[in-house]
Amino acid sequence: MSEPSPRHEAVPVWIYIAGLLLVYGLMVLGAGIEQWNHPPDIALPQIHATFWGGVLLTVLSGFFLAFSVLQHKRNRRS
Amino acid sequence: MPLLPALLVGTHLAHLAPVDLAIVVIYFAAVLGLGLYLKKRTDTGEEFFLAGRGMSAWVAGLSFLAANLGALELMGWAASAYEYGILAVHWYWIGAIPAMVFLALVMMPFYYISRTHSVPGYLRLRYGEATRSLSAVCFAGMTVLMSGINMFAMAKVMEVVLGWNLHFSIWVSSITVAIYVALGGLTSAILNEVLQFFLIWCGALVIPIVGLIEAGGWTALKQQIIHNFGASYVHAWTTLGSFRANPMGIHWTGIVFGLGFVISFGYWTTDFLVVQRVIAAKDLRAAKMAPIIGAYFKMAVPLIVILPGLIALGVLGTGAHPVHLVAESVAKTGQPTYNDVLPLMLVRYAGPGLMGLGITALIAGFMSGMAGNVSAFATVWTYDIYRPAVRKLRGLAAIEDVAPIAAAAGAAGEGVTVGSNAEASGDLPDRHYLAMGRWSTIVGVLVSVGTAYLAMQFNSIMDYVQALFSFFVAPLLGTVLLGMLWKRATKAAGFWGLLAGTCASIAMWAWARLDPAALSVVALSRYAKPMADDMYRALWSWIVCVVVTVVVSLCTAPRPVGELRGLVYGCTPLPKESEYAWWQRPLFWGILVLVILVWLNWIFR
Repeated sequence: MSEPSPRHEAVPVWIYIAGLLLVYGLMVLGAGIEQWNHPPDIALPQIHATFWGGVLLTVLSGFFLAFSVLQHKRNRRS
Repeated sequence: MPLLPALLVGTHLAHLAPVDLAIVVIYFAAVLGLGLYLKKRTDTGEEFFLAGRGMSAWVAGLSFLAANLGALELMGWAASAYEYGILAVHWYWIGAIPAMVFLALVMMPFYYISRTHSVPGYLRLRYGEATRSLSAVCFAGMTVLMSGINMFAMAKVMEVVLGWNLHFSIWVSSITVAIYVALGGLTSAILNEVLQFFLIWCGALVIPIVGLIEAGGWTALKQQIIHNFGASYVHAWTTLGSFRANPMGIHWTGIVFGLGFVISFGYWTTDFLVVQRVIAAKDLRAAKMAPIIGAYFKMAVPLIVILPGLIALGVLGTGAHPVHLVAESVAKTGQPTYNDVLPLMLVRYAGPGLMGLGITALIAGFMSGMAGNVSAFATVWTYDIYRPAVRKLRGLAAIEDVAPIAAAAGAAGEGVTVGSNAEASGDLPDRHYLAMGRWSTIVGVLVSVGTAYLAMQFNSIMDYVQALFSFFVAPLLGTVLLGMLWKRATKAAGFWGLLAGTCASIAMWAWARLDPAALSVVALSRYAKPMADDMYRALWSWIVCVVVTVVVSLCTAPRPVGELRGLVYGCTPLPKESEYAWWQRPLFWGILVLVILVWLNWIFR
C-alpha cells in the first residue's frame, strides 16, 4: 500500500490555535505587569483585569498547546 | 494609501497602545500564513469547495457556530439586549438550539448521503434544475450583499472606536480575506473560523466578568435594571402574554412559531453558509455531532453578547456621568447609539492588552463573516450557476437528477468529485472548476467591496438586508422540509412553492412599508414592533410556500420512488449507529442539550 501524501494528513489546527493564544497570553500578561503600578483609565483598575486575564490565557493556552502536541504525536504514530 | 499612524484621526472612543497594535498585526500575519500553508494542500475541487470532506466533528461544529458568530451578530445582539432586555436571549436559545438538533438528527443524513455539495445542489436532486437555479441565484446575491455589509460594518466600527479611515479598513480586510480564501478554499475559511471562535471568547469575556463585579453580581444587576427600566427587561417569558407587556412588542406565538420554528429552522438547516461547514465533516457521525457540539457552545454565547447589553442597562445610566444610548434613527451627531454598546463596554473595562484582544476579536469576527459568505458564494456560483451554464453551452445533458445512492453504485452524481468522470463525458476538467472557484472568490470579494460602498449611501440598508434575508430563508425551509419528509412533493411544486413563498414575503414587507396599518394584519397586533413583524411575516411566507407546494404536488404527477432514494425520508435506508455506545450517539447529546435548554428558560423565565 502506498504512503498517504502529506496533503491528506490532518492539519494540526489545534497546535496552531493554541500557539497563537499562548503568544497573546504572554503579551497580555506583559501588559498587565506593566499596568500593575500604572493602572489605565478604566473602570475597576484595582482588580488588575489585564494581569489576571494574561495569567489565565497563558496557563490555559499552555495546557492546550501541550495537550495538542501530545495528541498530534500520538495520531502520527498510529 | 495613508500610513497607519496617520489614520488615527478625529474623535473616537479608544486608541490602541503598541501592544494592542502588535496583537492585531500578529492576527493578520497568522491568517495569511494559514492560507499560504493550505495552498499546497488544496488542488482539487473537493478540497477547495468541501475541505476534502475531512473535518472532525469538533472543527466542523465550532466552524458551524463561528460562521454565524460574526462581529455584526455580536454587536447587533448586544445592542438588542440593551434595547429589548433579556428577550434578546431567545435568538440564542429557542431560536437556535432546537433547529441545530433537528439539523443533526433529522436532516443531516439526507444532506450527507446525497453527497451534495450545497443546499441548491440538494434542491436540484430533489426538485430539478429550475428550483436549484432560483435558490442559487437568490443565495449568491445574498451572500455578496451580506459580505459587503460585514465589511462596511467593520470599517464603521473601526472608524467610530479607533478613528481608522473607512477605506483603509475596507481594503485591508477585503484583500486579506480574498488572499486566504482564494488560496486555501473552504479549509482556510473553516480553520480561521475556529481560530476566530477562540479569539472572540478571549477578547469578549472581560466584559461580563468585570461588569458583574462592578454591578455587584447578577441579583444586584437585575435589581438595578428593574429600577432603571422596569421588570419586563429581565424576564424572558412571563411578559410575552401580550404585545404591550414587553419592550419588543411581541407575543409568545411569534417567538415560538415565528422565531423558534420558521426563522430558526430556516436559517440553521437551509442556509448554505452554515450547512456547508457540516457537509465538510469527515463522516456521517461527525456531520451529525457537529451541529450538536455547536449547540452547546451556542447556549453559552449570551454570556458574551446578551450579558454585556444587560450590564450596560444596569451600569451606564448610573454614577457621576450617566450615559443613555438611543436608536440610530434619533441619534444626534456624536451621540452614542444602541449599536455602540459593545465597544463602549470594551473601552470601559479593557486596558491595553485586553483592548487589543477585544479589537482583534471584532476584526476576526467581521473577516470571518466575510470569508464564510465568500466561500459559500464561490461554491454556489461555480457548481450551481456556472457549471450548469457551461454544460448547457457545450450541449451536454444535465447531470443525472438522482442522488448517487439512487444511481448505480459508483456513478457520478451531484458531488464535486466528478472531475475525471466529467472529462470523459465532455465536461470541463476539475482543475477548471477549481480555478473558477479561486477567481470567483476574488470577484466575490470585489463585488462585496462594491456593496460595502453601496451600504454607505443608505443609513437604513442594514434593516433592508435583514428583511431581504428573511424573504428567502423562510420559504426555503418549507421547500427543503417537504422535499426531505414528503415523497409526494413534485418538481413543479418545489419551484412554485418556493417562488410563491418568496413573493408573498416581499409583498407583505412592501405592504407594511406602504401602509403602516398592515402591521396589525401581518403581525396580528397594532402594537407589534418591527422585530415582531419579521417573525410573523416569516411564518406567513412559510405557510404560503407549504400550501402552494402541497396543492401543486397533488395536481401533478409524483416522481418514482426509486429516484428519491437518498433524498427523502421513507425512501432512504438510514445508517444504524448500533456500533456506538449510547453515550457516543448524537441522539443522546441532542436530547441532553434540549433538556439544558428547557432548564435555562425556566431559570430566566
